[in-house]
Amino acid sequence: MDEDVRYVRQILAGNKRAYIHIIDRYKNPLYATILRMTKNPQTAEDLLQEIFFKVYERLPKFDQKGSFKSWLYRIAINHCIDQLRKKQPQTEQIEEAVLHSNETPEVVLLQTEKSRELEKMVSILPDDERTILLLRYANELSYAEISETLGISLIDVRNKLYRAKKKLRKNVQEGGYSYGVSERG
Amino acid sequence: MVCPKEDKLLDYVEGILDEDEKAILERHLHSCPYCQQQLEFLNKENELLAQTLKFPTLPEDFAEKIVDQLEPYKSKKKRRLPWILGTAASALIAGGILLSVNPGFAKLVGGIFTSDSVDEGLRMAADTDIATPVNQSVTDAGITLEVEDLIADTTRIALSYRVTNDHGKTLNPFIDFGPESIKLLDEENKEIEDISISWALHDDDYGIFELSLADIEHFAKGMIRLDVDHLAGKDGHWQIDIPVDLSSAYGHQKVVELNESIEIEDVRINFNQVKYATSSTEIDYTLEYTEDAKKRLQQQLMAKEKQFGKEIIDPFFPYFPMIGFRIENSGGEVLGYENIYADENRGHPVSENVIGGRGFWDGNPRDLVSVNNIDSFVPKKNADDELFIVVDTLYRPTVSDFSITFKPEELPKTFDYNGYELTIDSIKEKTEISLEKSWLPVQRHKTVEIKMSGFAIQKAPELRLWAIVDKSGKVYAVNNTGNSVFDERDQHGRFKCAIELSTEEMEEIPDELTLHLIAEREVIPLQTEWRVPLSK
Repeated sequence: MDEDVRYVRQILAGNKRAYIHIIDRYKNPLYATILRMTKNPQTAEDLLQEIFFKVYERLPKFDQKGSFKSWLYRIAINHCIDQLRKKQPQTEQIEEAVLHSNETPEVVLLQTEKSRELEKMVSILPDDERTILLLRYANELSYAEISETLGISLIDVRNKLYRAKKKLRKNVQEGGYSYGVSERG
Repeated sequence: MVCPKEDKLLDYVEGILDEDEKAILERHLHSCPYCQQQLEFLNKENELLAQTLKFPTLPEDFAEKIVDQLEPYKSKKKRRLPWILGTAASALIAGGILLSVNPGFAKLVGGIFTSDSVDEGLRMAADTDIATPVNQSVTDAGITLEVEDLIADTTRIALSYRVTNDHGKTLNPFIDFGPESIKLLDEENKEIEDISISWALHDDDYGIFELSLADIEHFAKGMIRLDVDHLAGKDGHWQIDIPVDLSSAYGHQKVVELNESIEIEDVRINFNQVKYATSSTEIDYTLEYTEDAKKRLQQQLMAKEKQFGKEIIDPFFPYFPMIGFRIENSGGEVLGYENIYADENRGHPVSENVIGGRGFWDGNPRDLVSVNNIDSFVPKKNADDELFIVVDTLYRPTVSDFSITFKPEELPKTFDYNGYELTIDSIKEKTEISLEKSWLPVQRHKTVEIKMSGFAIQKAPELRLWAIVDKSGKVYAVNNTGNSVFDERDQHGRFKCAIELSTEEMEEIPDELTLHLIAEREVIPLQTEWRVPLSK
């Protein structure tokens, strides 16, 4: 049995502490994603809390034969989109300090060069491409899971993902920093 | 082969090429250093993306803070009902004879069985000599499983346990139990088969296993073996054998043969036996149709099968009758009930002091065979009470010829039927995509859902079995996925209700379709109640 489903059953049997396992499993990738959608750490954390409350409240409706992960992401992404629609869009980049605040100095150092460039480029991608990129690489969702979460076809997932990656490379090169891509084929 | 396009290499990296394409590409890769280099780059790109985009992280206590603010769900005790009868299951009662208890043994058991977290029957038994402390534990992988207490009754056996770590901290006690992890063994160490087991969490810290002895011919002595290989998130091996001896419990048990029978409408009820055990009172009764009623229902069933097809009628037809009854003392005080409308403010059957209910039958349900029911109730508290069963309600399936035709574009559409005012609110397609990791083929799982809402004057009848027929006469099987009557009423005093139907067989929603009601469950409040004493 899917471990998530096992925890869901425990929660519904009255063990609310089993929810900690579920939150711990998804909180970081979801936070990383929402932060890049909202561009504001406090808003991202607040939204994530709301999402986990909402998911808990809806647990009795979860079809235990289905994928919990997809179900959770559908609620999460829809909640973010709904909430962001109500707010003014923010276009600034996330501060670097925020992005690396929980890391040791060594890790930050190793990360910095390439990641900083990449982060910049990710922040200027169109919303849909950025979201797909985040679902795929920060959250490790399969194509089918992304397709289900966003309600778009698998071909769309693939095409948008590839487009996003090509843009990243192009932008990085134009920005004077190359991480080794060669254009051919 | 010329070098593949970059998208093809990306497909390869993402693992979405089919086997043939993958083989061709891999052959090329062997002989092309340029593409090997490209591939290496694409893999590194993915790593960098993952590395970058997974930052930052949240504090460790984020989850704790959320969970602290949540209310736990109420633990639902598993109630095994081997047939599908909808929400209202079988019959009811409470009552019994207070058992003589040796006060010297009282309060031997503490812990969870004396708390409000368990049902009242177990709580009452915890004060008697059928409850014993076990206090056996086993440790592996730093995790300790400790069985604390046992209640060994003739009707059920319950044991409580906790799970702790090296520091004595209580951990989540969930055990994903199956026939391998918990067994009841007889004196020859032979496993007792087909035993019904439930698990529930109590007060966040305790797990309680309950084994029902309703299916077992006779069990007097043996042991429960817990054999667990996964506990609190760790793999290991935890085995505990807990001796079980029902001698005391049999000493307290009293069985009264009732052998009372009556015909109500077209259903024959036989009250067979009452078993007064320490932790529950079990009523054993049988329901069957009279010969005439059986014949009539079978003819109606056959006519419906001819019209809509056997495969549509057969699995969903609500074959069995049910009764609603209450337990009273001689002063008319109601001590327990199930499936009756004892509370006029409620739009659905209610229960009180019920511990569980089971149904058994032989043969095929469509032969309208008799059903043996065993319902268990909290034991009575006043030893002097003389108890009676009062049968006041009958539920039975009724075949219906009602139908309504509608066009999806004209929804919502309202209709009246048998005390219901219902509105068909929507008909919608719903697509679920399978979550296979593979790229293609993708399994699409499509259903069409119909939602209805409205009000019911008459309480309880359940519009149970439906079918959809399109203009060409094609019939679609329908699952009744939700049939609710709520407490809320409208200004006319009618109960709010909702029905949800779904079908998996429809490729497209037709321009026009007809909903046929095939069978409903009818409720018949009895003009004359039937009263039988529970002690003879």
